[in-house]
Amino acid sequence: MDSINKSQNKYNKQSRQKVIVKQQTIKTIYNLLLNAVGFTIIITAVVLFTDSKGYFNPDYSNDHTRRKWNAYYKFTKVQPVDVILVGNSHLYTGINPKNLSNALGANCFILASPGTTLTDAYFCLKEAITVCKPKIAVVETFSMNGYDSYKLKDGSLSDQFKSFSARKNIGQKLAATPLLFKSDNYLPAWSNTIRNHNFIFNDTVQINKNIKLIKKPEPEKPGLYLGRYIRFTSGIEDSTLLKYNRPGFKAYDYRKHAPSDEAKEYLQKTIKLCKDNNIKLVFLTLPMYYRHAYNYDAYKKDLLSTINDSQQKWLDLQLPYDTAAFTPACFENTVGENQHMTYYGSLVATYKLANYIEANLAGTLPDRYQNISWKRLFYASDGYFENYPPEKDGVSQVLLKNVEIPTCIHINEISFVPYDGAKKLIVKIDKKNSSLLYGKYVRVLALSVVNGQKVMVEILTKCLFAYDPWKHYVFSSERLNPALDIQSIANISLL
Amino acid sequence: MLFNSIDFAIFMPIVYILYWLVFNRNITLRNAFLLLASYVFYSFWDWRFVSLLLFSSLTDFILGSQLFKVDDQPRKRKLLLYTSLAINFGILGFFKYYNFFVESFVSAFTLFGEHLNYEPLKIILPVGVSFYTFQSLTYIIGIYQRKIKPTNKIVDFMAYVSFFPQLVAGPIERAQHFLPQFHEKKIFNYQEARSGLLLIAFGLFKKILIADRLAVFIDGTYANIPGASGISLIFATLFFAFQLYFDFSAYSDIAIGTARLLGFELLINFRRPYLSKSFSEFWTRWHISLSSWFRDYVYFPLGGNRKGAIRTAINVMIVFVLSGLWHGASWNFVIWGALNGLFLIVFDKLFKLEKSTGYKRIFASLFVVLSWAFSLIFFRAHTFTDALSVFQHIGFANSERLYNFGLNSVEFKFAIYLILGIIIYEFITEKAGDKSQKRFYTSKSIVRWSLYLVLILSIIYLGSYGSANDNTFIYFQF
Repeated sequence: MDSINKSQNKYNKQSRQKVIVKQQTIKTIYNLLLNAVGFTIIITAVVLFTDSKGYFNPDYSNDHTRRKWNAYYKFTKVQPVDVILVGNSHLYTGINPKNLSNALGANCFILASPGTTLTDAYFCLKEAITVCKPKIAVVETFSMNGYDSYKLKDGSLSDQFKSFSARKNIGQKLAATPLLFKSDNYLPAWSNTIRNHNFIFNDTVQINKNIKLIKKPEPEKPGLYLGRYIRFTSGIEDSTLLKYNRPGFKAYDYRKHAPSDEAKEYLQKTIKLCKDNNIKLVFLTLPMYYRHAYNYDAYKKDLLSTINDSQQKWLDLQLPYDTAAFTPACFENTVGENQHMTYYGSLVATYKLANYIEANLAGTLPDRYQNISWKRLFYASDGYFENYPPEKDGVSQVLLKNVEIPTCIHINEISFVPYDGAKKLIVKIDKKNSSLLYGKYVRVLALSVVNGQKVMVEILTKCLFAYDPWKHYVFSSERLNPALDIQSIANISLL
Repeated sequence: MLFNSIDFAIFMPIVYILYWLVFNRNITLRNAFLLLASYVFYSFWDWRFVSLLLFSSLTDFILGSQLFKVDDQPRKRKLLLYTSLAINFGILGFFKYYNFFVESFVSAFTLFGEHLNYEPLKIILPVGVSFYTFQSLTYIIGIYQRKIKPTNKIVDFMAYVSFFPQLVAGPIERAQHFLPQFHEKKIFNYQEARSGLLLIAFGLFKKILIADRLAVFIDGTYANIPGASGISLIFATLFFAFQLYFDFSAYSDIAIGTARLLGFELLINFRRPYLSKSFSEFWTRWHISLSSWFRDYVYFPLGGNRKGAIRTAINVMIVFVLSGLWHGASWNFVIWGALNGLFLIVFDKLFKLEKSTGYKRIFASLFVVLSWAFSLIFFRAHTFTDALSVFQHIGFANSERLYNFGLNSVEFKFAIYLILGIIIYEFITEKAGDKSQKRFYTSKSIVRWSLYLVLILSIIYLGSYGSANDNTFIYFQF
């Protein structure tokens, strides 16, 4: 019995010791883990500190993606956004949101980032909707190409970093991180310190600039900003046009840029996102010069089969191509793959989009022209006077209203309005009662005072496709001498 | 999965916690978990090749057991050994050398005026195949030589072959040293874990701060050899000797540190090789696990140095040419291996390097490193023509172009300071031995934590990384 008790005691003692050793082991493991966690917290805090101070920020003065998001958040505190446009550089160079807003009498905002993909555009749209749900979303299709977010090359990746960094919704960004970036890019996406740490060796000027900015931040650029970026002002030159004649030359072959599975997936997701939020979705294809793009029809067919909805709104300005409207003056002077639109081209496209929305989604947008605060915000901005009469601002003049000229043309209004530091004359002619007037001129003879002397001045106004809102034809003059003071209209004729 | 990736930074803590807190209760369960973790680790590169790893492991496990069963039948034993060698070298040969040998064969015919048409096969080289094949072979050869008994635990064996810390680039372990560690019960050791973490941090420091920075310059020069003509090529050649060392020793440090965290002890792979006074000493300090593999499984069976001076020299040359070929399927690697064999045979004897002491020792070390760097031109150049082009353009001219190859003057000098810093550190540790490490671990926690912080913050703020950098380890290609 004694021996049994002894062995029992020995067994108990051994198992007690085992338990103690086990507990001590677990304790030391926890100690190590605790130290590791503590260490990680210190390292993270240091990185967050340099991030918050902005020592490694890139040069934001030219970062219009960041400017767009800052402006969007600011704008939506004052006005709701009715039309959101997402895409890449083709969109923000190809559409002028101020002209579009004025044409539609609504708030239109572009949230496009250069070089990015539809995946990025989708997350832009998602965040934009969270901030302010629009009535219409316009998605430009050029971002639907053969990309794979995990395989983006340096330039495109850098653009995606910029776009991601400019957005502000932490939760959505967290969820989007693994979808937009491969794992090694998670930290660079979130931290400027990690992404730009090499400034220590190759851009100390920027670090010093950032240190100065901490003490004295740069003031925001004044004025209404809706995401526009004017980059190209002159069109394709004749010498460039000759390059299209080279045998077998294809500047942009859509076959090489067939939409990837990821692009198709996000196309579906974009449609669903808009559907779930009761937002009308419009796809917009901005054109490249007709001799520039090849095999677009195959590309479009591929996208259409993915959408699989014949009712889907799609304004395609590439096919059919409007040769009369989209002249070489509308496009960047290049035969390189990526051809953007010029400022002039963007106006043509903008009014085509305005007309499309008005014709196909009538009643979707509110008429904000009746809203005083909207009018204050947009007054005299790009495209305002083409769409609305001037107010009593001490500068603008309505010279004539509702007259018939001998060729049976009904003139709605002739106004003399401020324009980019000078003035211009705008003649609006009713569309309903007039035949096609594109490319024609209205000659206005005006009794004017220049430098104290009364003179008769001939002013030619041209009906450009650019200024073609759905309401009326707009004939617009070039910039006029700001000292010109028009007293009365003596004669009007159509040339 | 790379050690210097976010994937690994997430993967390792998860494995570590599960390993010690959940799976360490039972040896088989723990090894099964290690096996699973290793296959997950490997799948991050290409999941399809897990099947090859599985096949290789299963084959050697079965052949090992059979080999032991026919212990008294020498012919069957030989047959089984050759079967294993044929399968292992067959896999290696197909994936790594098929195109090389066929191309060489076709070229040889061309020399004789016969033109054969040949389209090379598009074969993906499975990462780590040279490493795990050699490691698996040590098991079969060990049983054949009756140095070890086969294990009857298939999970343990498979975990031994695919152990993730050293799966893709070594150190190449020996079954007699490493396999028993899978049968042991592991007891958590705080000191070991701590030293493992420090090794990992130091490895990352060497890789990201030095090796990857030097890589920018070297890649730039080798991409445009005529453009880099002059002193840039001298620096590229010297830098590559250090890039290779810091890159590979960093990988080994991280592998050893990671294994240590899991309670395993791996072979040391590098022992301050650039302080060697002779070529024979160099090869006892450089890539030790491979050098000793060739010594034990090729050099000794060939007769080693027991059959006279000429036969010894031939044996050395065979080993070095094979070692070159192991590194890569190209004549450049063969030349690199042969050159190093010649250095060992000729220079060690000619200059009596082994006997150098005092200041002569410093010159001897410099001579060894410079000769090594010279041979590495063949290692780094993509083709034989490229290597010849380096010799053609190397010189002391065009110093004004030195900063045109990815590193500006500040970063270039910083890289040199780092190299010098590590050499001085190695010199101190060579003299002080383990004392410096012990002193460090017994120092106040503020001292230890400061060093950890300096290491990691240096990596973050001064490291050479980003989307534009190629951050893979050089030895992954082998």
